[in-house]
Amino acid sequence: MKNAVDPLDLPADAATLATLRAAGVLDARAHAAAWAMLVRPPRWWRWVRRLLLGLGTCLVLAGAVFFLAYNWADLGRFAKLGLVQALLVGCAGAAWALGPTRLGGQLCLCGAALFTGLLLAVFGQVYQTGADVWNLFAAWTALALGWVLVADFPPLWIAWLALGSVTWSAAWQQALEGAQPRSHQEALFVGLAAIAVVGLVAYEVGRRRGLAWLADRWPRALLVLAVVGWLACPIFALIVDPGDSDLFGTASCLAYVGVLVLGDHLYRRRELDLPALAIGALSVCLLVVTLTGKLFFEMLIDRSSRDEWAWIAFMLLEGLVTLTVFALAGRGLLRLARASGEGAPNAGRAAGGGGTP
Amino acid sequence: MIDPRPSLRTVLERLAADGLATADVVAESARVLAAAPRRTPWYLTALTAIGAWLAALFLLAALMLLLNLVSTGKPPFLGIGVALVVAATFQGRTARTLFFAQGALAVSLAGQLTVLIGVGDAVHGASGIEDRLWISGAALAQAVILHFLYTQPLHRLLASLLALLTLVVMFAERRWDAATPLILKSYAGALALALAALGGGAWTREDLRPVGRAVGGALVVALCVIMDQGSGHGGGLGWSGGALLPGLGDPLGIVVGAALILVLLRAAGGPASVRREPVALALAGALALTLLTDAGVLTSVLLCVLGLAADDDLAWVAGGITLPFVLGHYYYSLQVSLLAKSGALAASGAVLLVAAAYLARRPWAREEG
Repeated sequence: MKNAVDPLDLPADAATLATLRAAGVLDARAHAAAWAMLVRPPRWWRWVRRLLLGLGTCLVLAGAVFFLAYNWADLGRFAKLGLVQALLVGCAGAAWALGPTRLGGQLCLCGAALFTGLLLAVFGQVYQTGADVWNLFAAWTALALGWVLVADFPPLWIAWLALGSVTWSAAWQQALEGAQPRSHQEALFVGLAAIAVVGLVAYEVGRRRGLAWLADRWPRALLVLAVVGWLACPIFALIVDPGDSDLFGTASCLAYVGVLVLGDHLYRRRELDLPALAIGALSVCLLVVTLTGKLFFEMLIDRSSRDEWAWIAFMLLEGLVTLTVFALAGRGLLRLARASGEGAPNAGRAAGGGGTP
Repeated sequence: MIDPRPSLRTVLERLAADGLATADVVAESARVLAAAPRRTPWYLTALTAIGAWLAALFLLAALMLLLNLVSTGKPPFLGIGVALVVAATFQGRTARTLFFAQGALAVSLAGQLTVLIGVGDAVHGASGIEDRLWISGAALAQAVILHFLYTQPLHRLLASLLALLTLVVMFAERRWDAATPLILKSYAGALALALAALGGGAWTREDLRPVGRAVGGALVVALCVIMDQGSGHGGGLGWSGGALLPGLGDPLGIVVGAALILVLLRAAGGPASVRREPVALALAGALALTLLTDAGVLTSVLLCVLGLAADDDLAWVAGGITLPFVLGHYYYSLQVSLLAKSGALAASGAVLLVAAAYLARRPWAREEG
């Protein structure tokens, strides 16, 4: 864990300058001069460039897809396949020309990944094979991996993992669910969590190896949210209706606990990541509130009579439990934040705004 | 990633070297910052807010059940609500632990909702419109009073948000028939202008930042309601019914566009900055967006620009998240053939790509990037 940081050594920001101005340390001229030193233009240009390139690429690709959809009935099968292949090759060529690891090239590779799926869909329409939809998604996921590996682009990785998740959901619905004697809803969530875990492990390994394109931390927060969220779903179901549980329910409980322990080790002891810890804490708080709600309901509420005092006691107890668990989680995170210097007045643009809630 | 901003120490030392601050400005700043309230990271604010909302709902349900059970006549919602708000204010000011601070937040939210229920109860029997006007007025008055009573930013944010969202709910009431879209759009326009006023510079004041965030959140919700109400008959966001140039016939879009231009001008340093090429180009882009798109797209861009101008990632992220949805809605509600739609999509995408290529070659872009 990092040691406490001197606020003076953190980047200057608008709010801190406003605090110093309000305290009379800086007069209007000094405040204006300091404001001018905040070196914001690179952020502006970086944002505008990403916005223009990202939106421009998405709109052109969407336009191409809509054009195909409009002319679909009039096109012969060679024209259909040829057009999509031309777009695919065009995207790949443009990515090669622009440089596959530069933003323009990366966006073209996103287009190539999209047209790979479209080509498979067109192929499936032209030559009807009767295959399930999940076959298409599985093939798309497998073939798009090549573009994903070349691009070194976190958004494309996340999109690819989302595609993998869709594949698993479709496979579970079309191939696995019917084959099971009982509906293993939990298996769906455990599978989705496993996909997110694979992504998270790959991300962490890449970061440990010092891959520069994995420097941003937002993919980690997103993946942690997916892992914890998918694993928590069957536990909520288990709490609400324990009778409907099976082996997968128990497995997801164990996996959830394991993920929390591992997450605590990784993101509290090895490399402090408070947003990741906060996501875990939120899931625990919600689970505790649900569990106690279920217990209090069973203890207090008699379904055969309308005892309003029991309902009042139930609501008050739940309110108290909610306050307690969220306050405990908040206190723990706040301590970590303070110790790492994140609570300092100028410790980050993303601060929630002001003092302790 | 390397943060391009200089450290506070560097900035202060440079000010002292330029004669704009005294020699002991660094020591003085350290003293002030040590005593200043410590900022809560956004994820902790979110966690606290979720917990407080949940707890407030439980408390409110218990309170309503209790009042229903013990009172023989009309329950005194208004008095109880005010009492809860007062108690929460006192508790919030004196709380030394997060538990009590969060409890104050929950009691306060429950109290504010009870006050509004009490106002609705008191004016019940008046006409539907008067009824809603009273509740809206009470919500606004309550938020203004609580802004001064509450010292904590999260209290201020939730109080402002509650009031502004109450107004959305009141104005979205379909009982006002034909006037409903006009009222809602006028409200959204007023929110956009308020956002421009707050974000143009005042957002850097810590006490107004929660209000600015609440206004931004309420604007997004108001636009969602307008979109929802318009979606039934292809109306979209504008008055022009999803025409190809909705900006020309959409006063709300023009108001949000004006807010965007105001924020850009303020962020650039005033009208004199128009002579600088990047500022002129940004204004031209904002003008083009105003003419070609709708209020939803403009609002997302406005939030992003505000986030960058006011150094507020929450606004920036909110704008970034909403942008794909409002763009999708914009193209979806275009009342043109699929062929024209595909042409519009590809052409606008190509224009953006050409603009990116052109801008990347400008000398200032190469210097900055």
